[in-house]
Amino acid sequence: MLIVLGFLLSTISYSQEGITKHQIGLNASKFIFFFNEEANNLDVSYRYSMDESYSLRSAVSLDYSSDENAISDAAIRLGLDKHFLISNNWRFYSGFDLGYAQGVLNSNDRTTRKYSVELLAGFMFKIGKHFSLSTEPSFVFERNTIHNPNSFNPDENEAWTELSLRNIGQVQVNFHF
Amino acid sequence: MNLQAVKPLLSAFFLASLFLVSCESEPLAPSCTDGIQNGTETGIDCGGDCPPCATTVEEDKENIQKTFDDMLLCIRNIKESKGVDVLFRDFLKMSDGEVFNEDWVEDMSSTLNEVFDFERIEENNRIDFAFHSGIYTFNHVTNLWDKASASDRIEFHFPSEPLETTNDSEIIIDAYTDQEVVIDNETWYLPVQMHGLVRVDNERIVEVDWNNVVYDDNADFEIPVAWDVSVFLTPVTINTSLNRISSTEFDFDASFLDGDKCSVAVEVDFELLDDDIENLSNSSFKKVEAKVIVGDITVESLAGIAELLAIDNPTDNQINSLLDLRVLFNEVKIADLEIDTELEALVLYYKDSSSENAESYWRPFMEDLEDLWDEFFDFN
Repeated sequence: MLIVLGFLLSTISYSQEGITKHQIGLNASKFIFFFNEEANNLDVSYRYSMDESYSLRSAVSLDYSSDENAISDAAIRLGLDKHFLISNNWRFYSGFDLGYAQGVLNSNDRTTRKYSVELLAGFMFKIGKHFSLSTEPSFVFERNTIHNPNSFNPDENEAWTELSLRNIGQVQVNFHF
Repeated sequence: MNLQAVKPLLSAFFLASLFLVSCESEPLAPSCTDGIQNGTETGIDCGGDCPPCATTVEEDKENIQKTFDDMLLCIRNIKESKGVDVLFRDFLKMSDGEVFNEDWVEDMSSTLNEVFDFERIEENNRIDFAFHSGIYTFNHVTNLWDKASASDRIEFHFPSEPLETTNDSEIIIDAYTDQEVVIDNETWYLPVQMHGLVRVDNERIVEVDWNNVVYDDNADFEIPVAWDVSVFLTPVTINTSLNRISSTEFDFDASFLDGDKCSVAVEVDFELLDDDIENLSNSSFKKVEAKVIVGDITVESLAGIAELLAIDNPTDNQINSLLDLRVLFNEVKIADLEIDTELEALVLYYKDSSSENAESYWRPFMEDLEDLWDEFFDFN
């Protein structure tokens, strides 16, 4: 615990010494067990800072399996956010993402597609020049469609809309360079 | 001899031989492509050992109804069995949800404690089989239990009802092996192998065969990760088994059979994201495949269960989009099962695109079931 604290304090003192253009983020729930995983939180993200305020955002997830009874998922999100400096270590940012996700059930080719618009508000804690933790709750508008060529349900090509708050309590670990 | 002269004779002989051989050979074996109903077929080139025969939607509905009817007959047979008669009518004297022999059962249990020493089990978290072994007999004169220690098994002999003047019932545990396990830093001794039975008037009512139990000793919360348990509860035999295929893959099977109308099987294969069984939660599953087989009807979802378990309070649309719930007859799909979001009910979609509320089957079944057991539990 003391070692971790020492590391944090020493790295904080070096923070903000330079501006980095690129940021790669990983979903913390993938490797820290006490963070609950949420499907909406994509696995890997990349952010490109156009200037001190604005960044282009992208994120992807891929979960492919050749197992007959598995659902293979892929998702991508693209967006823009604006940063507001609160202190040397804390930042607030807000922005939006446009998302597309597709899941295919291998056994019967049932395909689920999700088209989403997300409005997000995030907090980032910088740990030195190269690392940060962030969390970004979002308000999501999502349009879902299902196409199942093997279903007996004549209305199987259904569509529905969801509005929800997501990514509450989800944490991302970021590397800046 | 001129070969040219005998050539026609040889040809004629060869053809005649072929004709005779073909006439004397066995008739062709039934096949699934001969265009006639033969062998074990139940239709032309289908059923039995051949691919299942195509069914109409009306036949599918009849088969589903027949399955519910058979289940009801199965449960009626159980209710009319000697086991239920002895336990519910004689021993407990249950009626309208009340146990009229409660005081008598409590008296017998508390007097048994004087010779059996149940507290020792609680103190040691263990059934010390050697210590408890003996023949425990209810004494009708003193209303106490006598213990004869010269036995390598545990036997209880007692009356099946308050007015019974003989010890017509017996519980026998003739094999017991346990293993030390640690649960939340506390040591317990849990059974890995056990055999016991209950007899009334020398007729077997219950028999338990508990084998091959394996506890996970890789954590401070040890749970069984494999077992093979068979319970006979007259007239049905319930078999359950859990097999650990790898550190994260398990197969669970259960069956409920009486050789007649009772034929239920449950098969669940699941894979965990990691082997941290101690912290098992709804989002710990990587894959879950489940089947319930009742007679010739199977309801299964081989996909989407793990994903659904990871969602808190899933909506009906999420359930429909993840699960692949299907109804099969003789392993051929006859219906899809989905939640109708407007009706808020589980609906069967048949191959002719018609649909019906699944409630039309299970509601009458549940009502009949309640009527059947109302004598004991007072559902109405």
